[in-house]
Amino acid sequence: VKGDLARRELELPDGRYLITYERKPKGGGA
Amino acid sequence: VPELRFDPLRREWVAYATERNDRTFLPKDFCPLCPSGPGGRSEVPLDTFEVVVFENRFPAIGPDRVNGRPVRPPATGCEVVVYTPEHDLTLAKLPPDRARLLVDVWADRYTDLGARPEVAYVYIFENKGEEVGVTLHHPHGQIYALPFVPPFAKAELEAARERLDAGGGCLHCETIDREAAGPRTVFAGGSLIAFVPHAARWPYEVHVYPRRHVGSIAELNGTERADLADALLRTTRAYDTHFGFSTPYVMALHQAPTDGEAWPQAHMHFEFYPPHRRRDRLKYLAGVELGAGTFVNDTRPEETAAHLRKAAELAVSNPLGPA
Repeated sequence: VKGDLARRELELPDGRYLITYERKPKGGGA
Repeated sequence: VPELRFDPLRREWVAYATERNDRTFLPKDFCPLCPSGPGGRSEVPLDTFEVVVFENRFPAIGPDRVNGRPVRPPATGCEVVVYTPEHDLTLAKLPPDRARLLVDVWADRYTDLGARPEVAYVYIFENKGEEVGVTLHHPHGQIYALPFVPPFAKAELEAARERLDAGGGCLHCETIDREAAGPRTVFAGGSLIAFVPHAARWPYEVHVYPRRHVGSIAELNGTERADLADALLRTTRAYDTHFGFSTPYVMALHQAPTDGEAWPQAHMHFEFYPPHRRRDRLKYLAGVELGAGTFVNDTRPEETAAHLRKAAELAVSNPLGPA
């Protein structure tokens, strides 16, 4: 979490990354 | 695997990405950018999201792949930024808080990608509309993490550096001061300004600048980020209002390279290039533009700025416009 920016990084089945950004943290790491 | 070749005559890099021939092209019954739930077949296997970024499955440059998987740690590459899970929105129709979040996402991606040793330039852009080659309509932009400074940014940076080295100030700041008092302003308020440039290549080209001299989007403070989000909405809504339809454009963010050098002359700004020269006519790049590199236009920037100024005022009272 940077400020009020919540960021969560996942790995797609083929190895690429996917990052979700939300205004408020909803769990699941930063 | 994408390949970069350098042309010594033009002094420019050209990318070859033959796998992009196989990318999804204007699908009718399925959107790869809509959330499809865990295990779903879209690019975003989530129930929903606010803004999501992922590595482009069909990158124009890097990364290398081994056994079909991208090499880690990631170096150069291409990302897709999906602005919203709502398929039918556009940047112009985003709620203000989503546009504000998008600015933070771009700033984070600039910092993150720019920290990679191989990345010399983080190029953030959006292609909107089939007229500029969009293959997916879901609102999204792209980021290229480039191993070189691309030629348009390089030309601007060199011109601005010459002015600084000659003892002058920031060429961009001088432009802002001149445009703020002139007939090409589209709107000016808060910490941002939008104008049709003095020598616009495209009839309805608009540049959006923070008035403060900042090199990158990551350096904007909270107020400036909010003002930038508002300015991007106002610009795109002005286009939709003026033309009377959801207007295609290319949106490009020019900012400081991330190659480890000092770039005091960089002044971040967005540039918009809509391909329409009037509601029912497109401007094509043809012999003079493509063969000679000189743009010819049939309207003056002062005239198109007046159109957009009026549309921007109308768009404030009717923010979702006619399109």
